[in-house]
Amino acid sequence: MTDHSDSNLIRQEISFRDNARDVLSDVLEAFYSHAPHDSADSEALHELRIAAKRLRYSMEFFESCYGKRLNNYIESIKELQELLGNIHDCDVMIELVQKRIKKASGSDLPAETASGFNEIIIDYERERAQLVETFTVLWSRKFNRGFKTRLLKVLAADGGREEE
Amino acid sequence: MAKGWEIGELDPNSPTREVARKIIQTKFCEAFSHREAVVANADIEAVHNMRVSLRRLWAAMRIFGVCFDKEPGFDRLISKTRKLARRLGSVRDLDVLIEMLQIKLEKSASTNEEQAALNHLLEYCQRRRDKQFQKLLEHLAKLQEKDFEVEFLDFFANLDSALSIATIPSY
Repeated sequence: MTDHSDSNLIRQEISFRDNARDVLSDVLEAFYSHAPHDSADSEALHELRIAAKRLRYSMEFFESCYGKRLNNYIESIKELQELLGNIHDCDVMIELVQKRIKKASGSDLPAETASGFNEIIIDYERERAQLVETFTVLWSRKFNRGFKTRLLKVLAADGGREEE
Repeated sequence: MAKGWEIGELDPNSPTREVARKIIQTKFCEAFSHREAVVANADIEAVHNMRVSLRRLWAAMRIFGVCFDKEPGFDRLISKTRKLARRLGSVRDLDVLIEMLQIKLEKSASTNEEQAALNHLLEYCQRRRDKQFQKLLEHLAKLQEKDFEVEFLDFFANLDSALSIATIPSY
């Protein structure tokens, strides 16, 4: 049986609009439950990236219930997602190179190539550190400062029935 | 990246099942509109576009699954959608790595050692990409052979007569 755990948030007997507020509030809570305590922790950032994706897709699905009022929030999540995606790409690259180093030890790989691997790791670690710094600033400036409260207010506005 | 298709004329006051069906149908058609370009393999963006559309489709099927999961065949569709998204992901992940390595090689490889290592990694990733792409092509061919697109669209078109099917997008 396929896991439909996300489905548990939906109540079939009510309208799409009436589901919007409850579902989005829950997904928003889930997103904030992944707020990182340690910005350098790859696993925590990965979890946050997945939660951000889920929040963005959910907002896009329910966008029609809120007119344009979700636009800025979706854009902010996109910005966050892109940054987290770039950090993840660096993590994947570093892991790949590390695996190649292991594989290369004892092989007939030219010494020049083998020593170049370490330089590549250093480069991507440096790039990752810069991206994490940008993430930390973005998180504290945007997502730790009223984003959740403001979005909850939009969602609570009678299921999006308020006029623009 | 290609812009996602608008879900035309949604009435938020409609039953959730009806709106969810429109979202899923649109996302499915959007995803498969990229199929030909993926198979042609002329532009890596095609794989990216189809993957993103399929991930949105899969997300919609999970979120709104409760509206459809009593219907026989829904689990099968969700599982096939997930598998295809994974196959596309395996190719896309390597495209991203290849792009990163190419940029580094062109712009910032500072030493001969680093250049040699980057070339080695590029060849390695390209070989893996070719293999994964071949698997993706086989998977797409298998889905076509089994009429997956027809099965998917028929499932949502025939859910029940109370739901209008006039707005199924074409691609």
